[in-house]
Amino acid sequence: MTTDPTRRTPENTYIIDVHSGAEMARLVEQDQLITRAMGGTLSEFAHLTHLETVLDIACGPAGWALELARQLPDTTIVGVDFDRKMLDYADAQAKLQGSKNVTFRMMDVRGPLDFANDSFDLINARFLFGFMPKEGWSSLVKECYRVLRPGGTLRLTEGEGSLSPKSANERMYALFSQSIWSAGLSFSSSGRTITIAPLLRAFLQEVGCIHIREMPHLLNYSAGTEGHRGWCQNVTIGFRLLQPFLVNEGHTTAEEFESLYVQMQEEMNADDFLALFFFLTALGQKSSKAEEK
Amino acid sequence: MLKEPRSWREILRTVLLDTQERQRLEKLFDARSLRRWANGEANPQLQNFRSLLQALPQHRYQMISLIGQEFPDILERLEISDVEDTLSTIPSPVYARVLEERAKSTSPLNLWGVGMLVLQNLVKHLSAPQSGIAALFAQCITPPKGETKIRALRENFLQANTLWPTPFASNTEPYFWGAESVAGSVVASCQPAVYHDTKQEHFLLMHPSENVLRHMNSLIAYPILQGERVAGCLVVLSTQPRFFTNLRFEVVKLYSELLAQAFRECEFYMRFDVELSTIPEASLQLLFLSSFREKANALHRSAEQHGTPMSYTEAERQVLQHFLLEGDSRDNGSDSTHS
Repeated sequence: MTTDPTRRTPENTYIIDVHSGAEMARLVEQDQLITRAMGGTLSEFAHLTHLETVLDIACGPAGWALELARQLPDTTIVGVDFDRKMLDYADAQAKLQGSKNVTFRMMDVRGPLDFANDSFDLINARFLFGFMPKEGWSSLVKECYRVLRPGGTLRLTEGEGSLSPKSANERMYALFSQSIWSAGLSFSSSGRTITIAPLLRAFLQEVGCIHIREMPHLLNYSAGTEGHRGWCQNVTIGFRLLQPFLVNEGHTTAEEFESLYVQMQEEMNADDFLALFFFLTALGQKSSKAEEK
Repeated sequence: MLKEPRSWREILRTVLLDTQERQRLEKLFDARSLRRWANGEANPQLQNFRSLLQALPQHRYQMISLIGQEFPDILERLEISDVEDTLSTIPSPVYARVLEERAKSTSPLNLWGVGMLVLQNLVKHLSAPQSGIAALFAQCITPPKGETKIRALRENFLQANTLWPTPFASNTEPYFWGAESVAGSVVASCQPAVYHDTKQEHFLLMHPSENVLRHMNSLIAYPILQGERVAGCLVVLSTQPRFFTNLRFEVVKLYSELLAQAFRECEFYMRFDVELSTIPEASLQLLFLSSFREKANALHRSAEQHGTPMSYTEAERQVLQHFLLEGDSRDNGSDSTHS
């Protein structure tokens, strides 16, 4: 029996076919757009020289990790992901880039992390909502805290979707929120929103992080803005790849989706298109031994 | 193409002729040692070879090759043989991913994935320290119904590394390229072109955007071919002058062959079907682009309302055709380039 790559399974809970080349290319592009919107790879830090070891959770094709490796050649960076092909690809990218300070390991971050205690100065996790069941967040954050060095930082970034007054765009994002919710990936009580960002601070507090900060981010991709072309392409490709997931979750039909998809693109192409994408970064520190005393 | 240096010492001598470069290198190495190495009176120690290669990233690949010619055993001791192999070929996981995607289907989504993967890897492959790299594909625009000639190209699959000084795709609409451009000339002739110093006066337009022209210092343009048919032109830009050495030219050639996988057969055209118009200057083009989307939307809607629906892509083609014909009239006759 052939496995449908677009169907989620207990082993693979990602909402998009992880072996799609288009998805890999989209993730690389998205990494660049998001990093730019955030002001850089680690814009919250005034200095980066103290970072000796960094872990990137669910790194995918590792756009962020590779960019960090280029910027900080003396820092050791490890990216982990559950997909072997993604990691092989990321590895090839590292060789192309000439970065010897970044390596990749196959790991399912929904389970225990295969690292010793106190291993990393910084742990980064960005946009995990595409695969992380809501009941898995607590244990992931606990594991991250365990492998974080005293004084190290845990950095979580999650999106809350887009807002647009245009009807097809609005409807499409509503479908997305509903589908994320019914798939057990969201903390919303009704499926009307994605609702993970509000919980990031609570996750950090629960494990005992100190000096917790939250940094909101905004990507305006209205017509005429710098973000318009790149993010509209991301949305166009992303929703095409999401179609099987949205239909399989039962909140739309293939016919409705196709009609909405065409209308969504027309709206994005219009001169009066308005839309914003919101996301949040929450950072917390593991108390150092001095602070514990 | 520049005359190829015959030795790594010749490269070093040429670099030392530049006052700024000489002063920079003298901060890293003993000035007398540099002169002795350049003149063949002495050889660097292994560590100095490594440091020299790091200090001259724009000459790295050529120097590796030429050092290896004079000192055949040294490449292994320098531990760069695997890097050299990597740099002259496309890594196998990249080939695997691209060909796998192509084999799945020729849907627009898969082909977009193929094109983006190729350009993302090309930019990463060519990225060197202090070097901004950008790449785009200028694709032949399928003529509207009833027409057979390719009149313009349109940019697609933009990519740039983080060292490119400004956002590369800052214009909200992709540019059109015509007979006035390097890309147009390459598509019409089906021959690659290299410009080692784009700041010099050139007959052809390197890029429509002043912002890009300001930062670009060298360029290579390679036709995307399938036999004798052409789909468009791969254009790669560098902020460094004389960036496109023979080795990098070969790398671009390999990627252009892979990029051909991103297009269906029907998107390749015979040379004699390429008759590019002259696209109006950038300011006029931007004016056109600012209302292009609205006109295409209006035409698409009007066709639906009149019971003669057309695809959005066809609407775009017709709006462009009208713009190009207006341009031809403005110039009092055809400016088409016949291949």
